[in-house]
Amino acid sequence: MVITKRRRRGSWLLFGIRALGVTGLFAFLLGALGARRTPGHSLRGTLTDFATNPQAIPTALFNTTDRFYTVCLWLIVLGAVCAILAGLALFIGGLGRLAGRRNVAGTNAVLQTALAVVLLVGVNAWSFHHYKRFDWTGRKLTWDWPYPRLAASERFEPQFTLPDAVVADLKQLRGETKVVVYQRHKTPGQFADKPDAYDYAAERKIVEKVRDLVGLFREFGPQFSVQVLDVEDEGFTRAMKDIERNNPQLAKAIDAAPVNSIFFQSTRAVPGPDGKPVNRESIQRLSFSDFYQLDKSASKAADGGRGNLVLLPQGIGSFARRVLAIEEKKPKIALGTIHEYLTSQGQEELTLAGLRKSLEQNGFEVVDIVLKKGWNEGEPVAGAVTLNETQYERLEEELADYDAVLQINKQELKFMSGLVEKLKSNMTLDELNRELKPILRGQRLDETARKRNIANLEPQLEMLREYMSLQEKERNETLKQLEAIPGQERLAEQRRQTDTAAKFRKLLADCDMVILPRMTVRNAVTGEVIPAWLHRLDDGQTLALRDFMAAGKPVFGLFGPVNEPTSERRRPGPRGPDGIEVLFNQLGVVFGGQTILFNSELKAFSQRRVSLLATGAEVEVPPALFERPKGRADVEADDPTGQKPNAIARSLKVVAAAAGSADKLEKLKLRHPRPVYFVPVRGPGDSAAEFLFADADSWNEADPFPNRDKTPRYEPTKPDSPLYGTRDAETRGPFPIGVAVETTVPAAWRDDPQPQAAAAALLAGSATGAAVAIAAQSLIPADDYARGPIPRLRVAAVGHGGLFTGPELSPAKEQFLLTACNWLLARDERLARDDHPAWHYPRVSLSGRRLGLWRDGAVIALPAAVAFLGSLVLLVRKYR
Amino acid sequence: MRTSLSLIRREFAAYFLGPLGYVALALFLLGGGVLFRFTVDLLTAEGAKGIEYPMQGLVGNVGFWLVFWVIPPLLTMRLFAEERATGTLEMLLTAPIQDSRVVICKYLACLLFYILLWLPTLLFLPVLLDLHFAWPGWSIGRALVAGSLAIPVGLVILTFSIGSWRPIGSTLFFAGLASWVAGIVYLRLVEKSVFCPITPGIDPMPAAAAYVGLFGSGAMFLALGLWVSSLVKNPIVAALVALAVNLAFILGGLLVLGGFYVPPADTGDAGFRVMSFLSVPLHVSQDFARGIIDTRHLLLYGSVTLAGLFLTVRSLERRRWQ
Amino acid sequence: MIHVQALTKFYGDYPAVRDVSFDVPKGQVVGFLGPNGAGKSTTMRVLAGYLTATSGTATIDGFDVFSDPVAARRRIGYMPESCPLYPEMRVREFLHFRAGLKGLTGKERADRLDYVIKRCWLGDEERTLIGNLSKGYRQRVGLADALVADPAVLILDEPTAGLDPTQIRETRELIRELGQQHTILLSTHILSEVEMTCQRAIIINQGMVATSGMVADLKRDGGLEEVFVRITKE
Repeated sequence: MVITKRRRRGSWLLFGIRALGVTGLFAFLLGALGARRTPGHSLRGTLTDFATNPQAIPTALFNTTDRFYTVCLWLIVLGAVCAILAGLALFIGGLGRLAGRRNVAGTNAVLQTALAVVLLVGVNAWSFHHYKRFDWTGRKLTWDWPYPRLAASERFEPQFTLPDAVVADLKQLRGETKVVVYQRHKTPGQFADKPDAYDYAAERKIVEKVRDLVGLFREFGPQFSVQVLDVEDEGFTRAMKDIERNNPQLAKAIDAAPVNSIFFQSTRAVPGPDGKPVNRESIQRLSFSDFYQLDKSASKAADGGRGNLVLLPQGIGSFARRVLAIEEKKPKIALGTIHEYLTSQGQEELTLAGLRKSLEQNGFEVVDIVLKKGWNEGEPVAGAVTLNETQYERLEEELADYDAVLQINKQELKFMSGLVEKLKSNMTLDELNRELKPILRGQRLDETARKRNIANLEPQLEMLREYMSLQEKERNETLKQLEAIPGQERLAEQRRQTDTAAKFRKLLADCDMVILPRMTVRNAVTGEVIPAWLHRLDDGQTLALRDFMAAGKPVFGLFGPVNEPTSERRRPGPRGPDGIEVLFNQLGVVFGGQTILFNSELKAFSQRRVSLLATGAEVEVPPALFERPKGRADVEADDPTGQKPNAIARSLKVVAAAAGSADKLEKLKLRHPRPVYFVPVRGPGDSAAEFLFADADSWNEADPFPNRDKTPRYEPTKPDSPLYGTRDAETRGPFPIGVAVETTVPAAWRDDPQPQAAAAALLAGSATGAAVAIAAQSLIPADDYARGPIPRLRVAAVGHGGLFTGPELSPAKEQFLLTACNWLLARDERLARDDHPAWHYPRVSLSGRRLGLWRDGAVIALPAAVAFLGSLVLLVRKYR
Repeated sequence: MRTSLSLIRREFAAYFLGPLGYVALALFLLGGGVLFRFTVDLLTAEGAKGIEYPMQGLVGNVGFWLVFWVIPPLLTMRLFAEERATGTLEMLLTAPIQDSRVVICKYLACLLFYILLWLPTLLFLPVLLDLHFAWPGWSIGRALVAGSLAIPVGLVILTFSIGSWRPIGSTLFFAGLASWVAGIVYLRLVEKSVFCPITPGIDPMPAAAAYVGLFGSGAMFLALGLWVSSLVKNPIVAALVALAVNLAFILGGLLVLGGFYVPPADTGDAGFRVMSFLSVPLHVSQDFARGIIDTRHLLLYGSVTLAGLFLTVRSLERRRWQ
Repeated sequence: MIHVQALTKFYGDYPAVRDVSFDVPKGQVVGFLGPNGAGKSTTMRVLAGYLTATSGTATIDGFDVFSDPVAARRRIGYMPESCPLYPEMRVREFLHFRAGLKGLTGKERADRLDYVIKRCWLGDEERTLIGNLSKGYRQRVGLADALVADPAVLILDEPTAGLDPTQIRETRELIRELGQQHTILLSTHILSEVEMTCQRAIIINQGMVATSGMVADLKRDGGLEEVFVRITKE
């Protein structure tokens, strides 16, 4: 047979095609690199142009303005063409190879590989969108013959499972929600000046938990996007600018946030006024501590003093509610004061501006109602005036003043200009003298005098004109301010309303809660006092408040002590508790008639004796307590066993614990409070009523004002005095100064339209025993339940009128305020809670030698053992 | 069956006949030990420091993943590449065993070694999970269960010896097995208790989930390494290419855990989701180590493993066509 | 026993083996002869199952090497040219493994190991690491491996390459002995080997079968060398 020589090398043609292909690719790459950075031309743009509009190619290629760029384009085009041609040639050549077993099997293999790759990519692409996550935390493995099963563990809680209720709600959610976590590094309940390691650690942990929770939500819900903004971060300003651009509402809300918060912004379709769905955007805020509350005192004390991070979970209910954007109407709180100076826009020292700010920042609406009017005309009478009204009145008067002044000035102007005209005119001196005779009054005008007068009067005229135009401007400003007052129609209506009581009722009807701050004793050392009788409300107002409460709406009374210095006591007027206090009495809240003085204040009193300059401002009183100090029993104390602890006290304790101490807020210091007792006239109730206490280093003084003859001092009531053993006896503290009661509305309030005038008269002596007797008269009659469901009512009273006074509230007071308001409005879910098991880092008790052994053993012993074993084996292999 | 066992046995033993296996073990245990020490420090820390999921201390650290990145290529590099380099592949492929069997046996052998790599970390669990052992004392059942120590001894003998020791090895193995089963049954039915009641102070399921994740991802990397090894002639090149391939699955996680790349705060961001879909360190440290089993991850591992094995078989076949 | 029909193998574009056909009946010792690069190793690899032919068929004892590879390989004992072994294993360990790979277990395996170790004169080096052995011993191990499962066909690629004369003689002796029980196909470019050990010779050149015939006949034809040179010159 003929044996032909085999060639190892392929043909020149094949080599040429392959070389061409490789060269083409290289040229393409070079051209692309060169063209990429050419200013004025975008490579991507050019390529897309080429792809869409092939006719553009020749023009671009022959465009000679930028030689370099043109060369690059040529390279790209030629390179691509060569590479594609070569590829095609090889492919076609490959297709046309020898037939035979190889080809079939080869194609088979290629197909199989391609299928495998496609399957791989496809399966993963599918699972990217369709997947399930299983939470193995909080479970244990049990053997349920013959299969193993995961059952709930008794020792641990699942960490990544949502409660069914929340899941059900989330599944119905539609639309997008944006979650913004805003870290200001300022936590509420942070009463130290700077955050410490615990605060930072808690912050980081909470951010993590938020991320996790949103991740969980994402499994069920619609679009969730999370953004974390850290003020200390470099990109923070840029991120905020972005938000301001896209979402100004959200940016505003973020700016206004006082503490670390989580914002939820969602757009939901809600039925609009005409029935058609309207996209409503809502922004909700949740502060970090509403999600997890740091318990700093427990953190520091954990593990036998070694410290741990302890967080109190507040339940994911509030979180879920924000996400679901359950639109909650802002509760409206009315502040009832007696003078403009005492309102939230009042005078610096007496203002309630801080109260308003704190409430508004935390989702409340605030409205001031001034309860007395006619301060300028002698004795003030009852009123119900909103601040808008007073402002309106004030502006109206100003306007009238301006108008009057302008009127006068106009006349003057007219006169003067007439005069000047006359002087400047062609009239002869005689004529002038005749005309101006009444003014000249016997004097004679000559030429020089005439000229002099003109010279004097003209500038005066100018000045007058200027003055008048200024006045006009100011007058117009005032008018604008007047017209800018919102609710002009309502205002007009309100001003027309002369019936105070009806007006008050109408104002109250909008509100959900009333706070009555009655600041009385401001400083006992100097005798600064607002007499209590000034705060008294008349019958109409009392009735309106009673009906307000009968509807189940809460009242927060801040009633300061009623003691007055002797110089004031000679004024006539009714004494004893006013209608509101009587209403409180009927619910079991009784106010003491003394002022509580603290032992630490004695120094201030003795200083005052010596010098009138001493005001006692630097005296520190002990902070208020949330729990009666152990070991002291009150005269008529409630039986504490079997009662749930007071909800407000409990919540405040959680907040206080976050700040580092368990039963008081260091900065909550009340000076000159009044005792407030709970007398269980309508049954003891299922939780304790007293929630705020004055420290034991105090006594209740009936005359707390020093004068030249005496300084207030503790003088215990003697046994032979009629007050001995009663609540009014002078004893040492502690005293309850805050009471919160939840009860049913007394039946008498709901049907009896007349106030109990007889009771009021009897109470002139301010003897609490009588008050109790009267209060007992309003016990619910037996057949009341036939009338339908009795509304429940919550009221609270604190014996300090100036508690929330000032331009800004300290964090302690703010927490106190918010806790009290939330409880009063029955928004219990917002109170800080400690009923969930606390979260903390797991700890292992290892120490000393054992710890050392574990630490070193793990690092050294195991690898050393491996090395040992290896050496042994290799030695055996080599030498045996 | 016998052929497969032979091959698995020989491949597994090969790790111990040269320095490679010991080096990998020592390196891995060193890394694990250092991280364990670091975790123990957090578990006994003072103040606001600590670690919520102890396994995260091990697998959430960038150092761990650097080590873990390197180990599978080390283990797989010689599997095919060395055989091609020395020519022993020819011997293997002319034996009466299918290509797919060869691939599976080699894979199983390195998977077994990988499991062996992780076994010593079980020694860390008493500290990581704060286990409290309430040893009730010896009894018949417990003695029987303790007899199961013969199983590993028997296995070691069977793996490494030939000839006269083998019957001893197999008797030990089966005797140990029988003793274990008998002990369990006896404990359950007669003494109505367990071997040693263990109470964990820290939820153990995240640790279990972490092991599941590590097994799955390890299986995936080993399969990829095996495939690369079958494509390349030089074991060193095989290791390097395997490193590069594994990097695709690890890089994102390394950057995030090392702090070089802060993930966009928006965790729903599309780019981040794609990256974290592939990024094994993030799977293990964020999901598995905290007790979350995500089907996406398991499906990824399983599908890539199967694809890797399939492609290895195909690659062997192509070898024959050349 | 061995039946090859129109076997063709391309490495890419290069035809290593073109249209080779031959038959080896049972019990014959056949020598594959040819210059370097003629295609001998390729043909043997295809037969052993390491490579797949581009076209054509090859069967061992009726089992097609392509479609029934495992069965075919079970009947083959193959020893490649470079004799690759695992240097970290001991001789007996290696043979133990290979025996297991080929399906032997237990006592049968132990007995066969003893047998091949004795037969290939490996008794002294049973426990030596293969990496420590000389070339000659390695060839013996390779041969032992080929023998261990008692295959019907032995395919030996240059079995005496690199051995010293004593070893060469011993190996040839062994092959002659084995030829009495097994079918052997061995390749070489040493003519004297073929003359001494084989009954038949197939000469391959440029990937095709140049001549095939009984050694005795070829000797008559002017000697093997004569034939060889004549063919390769063309």
